[in-house]
Amino acid sequence: MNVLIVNNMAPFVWGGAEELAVHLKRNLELADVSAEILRIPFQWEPTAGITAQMLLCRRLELTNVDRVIALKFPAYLIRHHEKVIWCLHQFRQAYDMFDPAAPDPAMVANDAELLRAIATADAEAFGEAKAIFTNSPVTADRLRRFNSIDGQVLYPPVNDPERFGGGEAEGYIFAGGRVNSMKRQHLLLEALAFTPPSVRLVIAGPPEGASTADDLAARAEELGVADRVTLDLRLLDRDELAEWVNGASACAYLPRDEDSLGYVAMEAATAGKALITTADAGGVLGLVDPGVTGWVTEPSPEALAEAMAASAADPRATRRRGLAARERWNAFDITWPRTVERLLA
Amino acid sequence: MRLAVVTPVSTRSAIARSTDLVVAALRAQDHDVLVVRADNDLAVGVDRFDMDDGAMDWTPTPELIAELSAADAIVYELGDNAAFHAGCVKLMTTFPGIVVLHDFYLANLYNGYCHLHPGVTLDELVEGRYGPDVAAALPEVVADGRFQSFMADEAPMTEVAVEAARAAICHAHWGTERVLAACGGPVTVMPLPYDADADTDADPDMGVAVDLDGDLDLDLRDGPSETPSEKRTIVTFGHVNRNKRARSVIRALGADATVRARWRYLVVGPIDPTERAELTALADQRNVELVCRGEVTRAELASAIAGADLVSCLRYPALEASSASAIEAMLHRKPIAVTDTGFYAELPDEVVVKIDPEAEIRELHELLLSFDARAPHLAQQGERAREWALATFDPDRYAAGIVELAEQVRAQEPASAALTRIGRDLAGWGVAPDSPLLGPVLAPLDPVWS
Repeated sequence: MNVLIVNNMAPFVWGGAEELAVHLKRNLELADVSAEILRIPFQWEPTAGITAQMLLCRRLELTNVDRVIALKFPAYLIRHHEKVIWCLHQFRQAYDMFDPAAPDPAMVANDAELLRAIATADAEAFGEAKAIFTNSPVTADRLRRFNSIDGQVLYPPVNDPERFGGGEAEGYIFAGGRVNSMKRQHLLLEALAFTPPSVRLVIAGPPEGASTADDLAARAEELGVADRVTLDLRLLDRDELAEWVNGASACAYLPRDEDSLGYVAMEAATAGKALITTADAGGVLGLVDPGVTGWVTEPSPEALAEAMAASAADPRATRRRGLAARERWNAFDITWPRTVERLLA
Repeated sequence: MRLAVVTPVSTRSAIARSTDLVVAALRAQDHDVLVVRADNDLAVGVDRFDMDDGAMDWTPTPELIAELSAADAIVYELGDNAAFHAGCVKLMTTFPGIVVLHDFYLANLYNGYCHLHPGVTLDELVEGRYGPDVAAALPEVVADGRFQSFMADEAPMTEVAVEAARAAICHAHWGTERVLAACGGPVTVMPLPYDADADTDADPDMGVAVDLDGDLDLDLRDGPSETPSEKRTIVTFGHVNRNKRARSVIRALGADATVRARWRYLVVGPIDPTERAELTALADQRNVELVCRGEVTRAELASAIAGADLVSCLRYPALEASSASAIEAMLHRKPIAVTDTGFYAELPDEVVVKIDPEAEIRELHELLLSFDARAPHLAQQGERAREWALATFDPDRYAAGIVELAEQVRAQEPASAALTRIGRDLAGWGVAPDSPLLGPVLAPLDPVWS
């Protein structure tokens, strides 16, 4: 059986979706399935170019492929009689992130025709799919709300759970993942300024944007917390990353309204680490039960500082929450063999 | 090259006459040409041009479909008359090809086709291309007799005719704007190929009528032959529509006693009884000698043209993509008065006399009054007109132009097919044909068409 994983790409940008595709391929091959990844460039700015890129995907003709697993807009517009959509996200700027009253110029222009074309194309693509999965309840809800489509939630598994066995807490809060304004690492820095001197923070991951790393370092100096924060801003290899996670007291992940549970949170839970997040984080809230598996606060430095301080003040209680987070994650029973089985059914 | 030419074949069609020349020229150039009769319902016994030999009817039988599918190019000869061109309308959407526009105004064609072939309505066609407001006005303009002028301005159906075409051929530049806007393929302008019976022995006094500006369903009601006289003759021939300006000619003739005494007006071609009565009344009132004729044979037509001193090709508004009347008159070496508009405005100044449509009575009267004095000059002009017409309206060159265009279309076929598929996707997504979303999509294809 030949399975083609179809994904979009932005050249030289690597994130969770890219990791997911790679590990999906690896796990398909472990299931004795021949698999390849097709990465189709997609750039949504300027928005005038979106229609052409939709057509590009729509017009691709595939041969020698028994099944397509498509992950994103507009890659999932590709035609195939055995197409399964595992929807990581639609073009949200045309749906929940579009505000007609205050259109964000960085997103879709106030162009009703383009929005209609995207919605119609989505309906066509979903209508012809053999099965539709989503990566989180948030994505499923959005699909139901905007497209009247029922998708089955299929959480992406942790790709290398063996690395995240946990370990002794070394007294720092770890914030991993891509570093950018949407992940709000800067908010953690600001919160750190409100915590006792015993609280330490490690921010590690690839920065996006030319000045992100310098800005964070300058901000730490400005706030007077530079001696309590470690900025390891680069693309870490998996062992390095796992080492930071396994040695953490708790892990913080504050995306703004993200769809998925998030690899950062899933890996932390696998490692048995308590989770700190905010009420507006989106999918990650599926893992964080306040007082049980971690802390959920308002997205303000002061509120976050309280949670950070609490996690440092009582290591045993924090450890309990971490174990509860692992338990919660394991209860989902999300493994690659099971995921591959559902995608190929 | 293997070509299918969908065309009227009846000798009553001037377009068929032109196409007959082109088909002969294509065959002489060793191309394989299948003629498909576009005539709606060709009665047994109707005279047909030579190209009818071996032709097929337009009914889409499996045999015809196989032939059209196998052709390298299909050429549709389109004029504003459903009786002669129904087969084109029927086939050209399913089997897109090169559309030859003999008229830029095709509302009568589509109106007639819709009457002949229930299932599609003019309202739907108009709404689809020109929008609901234009379609909604149709009942009113039909009721008050403004159909023709309204359609000419708002919905000439030119775009409908070419929107599925692989390419279009026009015979004049003046009306190509709508064609260029609607046709996805190349658009070219080539002079209409035409010949004339100018070299036959013609009886100059034989009254004739035949339509040459369109394919008209002519009604023979020939009167007695004219008695030769010393008067000069100005002739208008073709279907006597209002745009042929017969009233202006009568007013110019009646403007003074000298002209009235020196000229008579011969109007040949089918004419509505009411129109005939009105023209006759006007001529009587102005003391102008008017002779109205019905449909006649080609030989009789040639005689009438040969016998005329001046041919009137006044047309306003000009609806023709080209004028066979003007070409025929030029081939007869005749002085010709044309309106300075449309196709006629594109004729060289040295081969015709151009009349300002805003001052047509005065300028025509001056021409008539000075005709005797200018006769040698006008005779030279007639000679130049014939030479120019022979060189310009040449079937061989026209046939080569069709082949060249067909080659171009064939070369663009992959891009064209891609565009068709893209268009289908976009239409499925609700993107309108004139949407600004299309700009970035189509821009990369520009070099393909240039």
